Amino acid sequence: MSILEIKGVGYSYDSKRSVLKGINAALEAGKMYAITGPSGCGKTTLLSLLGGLDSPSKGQIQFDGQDIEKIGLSVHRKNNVAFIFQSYNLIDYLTPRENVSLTSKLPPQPILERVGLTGEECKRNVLKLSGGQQQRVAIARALASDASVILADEPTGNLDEDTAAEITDILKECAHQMNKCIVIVTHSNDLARQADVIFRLKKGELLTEKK
Amino acid sequence: MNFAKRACLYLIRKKGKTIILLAFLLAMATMMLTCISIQSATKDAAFNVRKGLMGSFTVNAKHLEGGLTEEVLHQILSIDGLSGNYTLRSYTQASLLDKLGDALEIEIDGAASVPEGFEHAGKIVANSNSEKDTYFTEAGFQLVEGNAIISEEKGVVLIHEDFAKRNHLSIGDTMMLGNIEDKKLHIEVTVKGIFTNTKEQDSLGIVPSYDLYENIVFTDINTCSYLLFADFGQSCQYGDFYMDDPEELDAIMEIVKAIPDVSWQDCVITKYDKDYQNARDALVSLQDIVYVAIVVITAICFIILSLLLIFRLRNRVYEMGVLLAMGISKSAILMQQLMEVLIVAAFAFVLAFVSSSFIAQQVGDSLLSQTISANYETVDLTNSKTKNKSKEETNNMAALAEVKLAEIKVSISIIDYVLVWIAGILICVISTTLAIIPILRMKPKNILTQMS
Repeated sequence: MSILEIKGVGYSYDSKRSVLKGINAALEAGKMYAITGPSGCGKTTLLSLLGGLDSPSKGQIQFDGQDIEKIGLSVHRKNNVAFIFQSYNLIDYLTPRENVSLTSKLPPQPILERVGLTGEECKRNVLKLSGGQQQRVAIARALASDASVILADEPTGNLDEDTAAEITDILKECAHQMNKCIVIVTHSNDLARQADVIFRLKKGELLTEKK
Repeated sequence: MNFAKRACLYLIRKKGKTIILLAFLLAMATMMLTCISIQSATKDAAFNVRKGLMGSFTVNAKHLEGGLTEEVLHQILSIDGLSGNYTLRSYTQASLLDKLGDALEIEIDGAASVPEGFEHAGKIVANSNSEKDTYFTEAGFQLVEGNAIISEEKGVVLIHEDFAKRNHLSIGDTMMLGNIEDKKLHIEVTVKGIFTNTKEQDSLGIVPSYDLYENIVFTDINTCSYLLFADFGQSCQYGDFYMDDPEELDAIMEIVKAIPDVSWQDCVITKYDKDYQNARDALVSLQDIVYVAIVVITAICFIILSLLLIFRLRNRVYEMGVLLAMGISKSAILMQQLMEVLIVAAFAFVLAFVSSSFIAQQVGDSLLSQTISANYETVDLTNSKTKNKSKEETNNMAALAEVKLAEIKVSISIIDYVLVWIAGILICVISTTLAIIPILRMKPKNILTQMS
């Protein structure tokens, strides 16, 4: 059963430039989805709509059968989804543990250890961690919120190949072992290939490439 | 993690930014508290000046034979608002006679000629309290023997030491004062005191003999009343009445004017509050300046704090975007920002108590003493140029000197401190809210796009 459903979603900037044209899709828990496409095609916009950061111009997005507008976008963001950003977006005056604790519904330390951070690293200022370590903290923060859906925007975009592979493995593990619905927006074909389903966004339409 | 913990962690971890905010809020609170304390001190000073510079009015007869009757005097003294401090005065001339009725010898050297009948006359000065008479307070007269004449006494005189020597009079001796026109009207008096003059008399050669210092005789109001009106009592030519509060002078003078027994065709009422008005105007000007300073400082602090917070929050847009993306409410983000500013403000306001206490006393002392001193000099100059200085002016000088000398404490009162807390918190809350509103009105996606 799908956890997140996109029903006829359209989005246009300033009521003129339409970037999404009546998109339909159903996303299930326990799977990793990748959304690819050329720059400016609306991948990040679609991710923002799924995460309740913005509202579609038309159509609706349902979480567990309920329109997220009716749930309330703030409530949807707090309870149902979690974000992982390309630039990590950690709060710079907090330690990894405190970053994870921001909206944590679960104890932070086991999650941080699960994504590969040591106890000592968890006490440092986040800006003193490497890019890979910072992205692990971001993933831990998403996991700690206990959200069913994790939305990741270019999660490996700033990382080297080896680290990117490690992060990809963690995300796959989240989907398959923790039964999360992972939606990744990426330019990386390597990362996209790791997904269970690949969507290609082209001229405002969402095409399924791999199932 | 709640907003309070986030706020505390930010303040602890971002020490530089916290110190900048603390320094600004400390400066703001110190300036506000200093100005408010000075304003309070000027209010106190104004009150002291009101109390010190007693305004007064004088009711006096237009003609020698007119004056204040005892009945009118009692009616005036029953008016609320009078300090109970009053002086009655009368002036006339009388023949100076021994107890047998023979003329006593007077000084005539350096005197102008006098009309017939005044050859043995002296000036009679009656005062309800001779110590307060301007001859003693300003002209340099001094008692060398005996005591001053006080209210309610009857049949006593003070004579000049030359006159006493010339006529072999001493304390306790008796003499007589005779009416110039009515030879049968005379009164026996006892010498209560002997005085001398420490300053030379001006205008010698043009004053009649009865006006020479040596021939002046001070007596009581009752005796003078008998000489003037052939009636023992407190009737007199001049009545000086002092006020508790000079602000009430006009109102009380209106009540006096409404007393039916006074013939205002024969009497004049005169107001004396120039010194009070001068002092009051100077202090009101200072109060106005301080008030304007408070308004300007508050406005400038408000603007600068708003700008400071706008810059501060602009650097934290990403943080708000992340928090919003994580579902943290806008109100919680606003509360975090408010708490950060208010915690720093609380520290700043506590420190401001110490800094303001020091600065307020320094600045306040300087401002107030300048104001009072300038005013004191004005009064001093006015008085020194006036030959016939009134008792009121003399009292005012003394009172003003007291105000000047008494240290005016510019201290921080609890009310002032609470006022600064309230004003400071309001400024912080409004500035923070105004600074953060434009950010919180943006959609989370737009904030995150800005971050990118």
